[in-house]
Amino acid sequence: MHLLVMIVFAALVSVVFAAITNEADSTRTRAIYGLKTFGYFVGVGLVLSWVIYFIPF
Amino acid sequence: MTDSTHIEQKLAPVAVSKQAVACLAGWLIPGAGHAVLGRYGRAILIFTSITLMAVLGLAMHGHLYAPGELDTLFAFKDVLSKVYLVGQMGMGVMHPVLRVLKVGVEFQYKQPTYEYGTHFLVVAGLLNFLAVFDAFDIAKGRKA
Repeated sequence: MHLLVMIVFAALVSVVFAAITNEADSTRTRAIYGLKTFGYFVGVGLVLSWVIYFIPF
Repeated sequence: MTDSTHIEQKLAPVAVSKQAVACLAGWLIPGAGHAVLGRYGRAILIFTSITLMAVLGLAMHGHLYAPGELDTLFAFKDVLSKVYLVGQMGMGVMHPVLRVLKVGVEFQYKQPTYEYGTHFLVVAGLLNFLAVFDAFDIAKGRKA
């Protein structure tokens, strides 16, 4: 459930970020920016969750 | 029409009244600001994402805060709720309409997905603020 919600959240936010970015000048670069943002969201989320998992307090 | 002329036309600022209309429309209805400026593709993406995020937030028992709501939570002053309220107000007309329809009014903090839902609703509003700023930049001719 947690992972699913995180993925849905990352996907929706990435779509809006891709739509409003000024780092893209075509639909293709916009789509790549959105995919990269989605990957960062999910990747950083997973890394942080594992880091927190090992913290004993 | 050459490509450079096309780009110059897209980067030209629009009239001040249209800038105001784009920002106001964008705040009231997510994506409407981009639609006013002729960016229909982006308008659809923004509207769909933000609306879906709000719907999912409500489906997860998120709470919609209101300005007149008591600012106490478990006998503590709940300052954070005012911050959440400002974020959720970014959803524009959706926020008061849903409150009037009694959707998201109940404070269902015992539901396991309550926190997720409330944060989805706050982020939906914050994303719309970003979309309004983007529409303003486009209207000013700062970006295509």
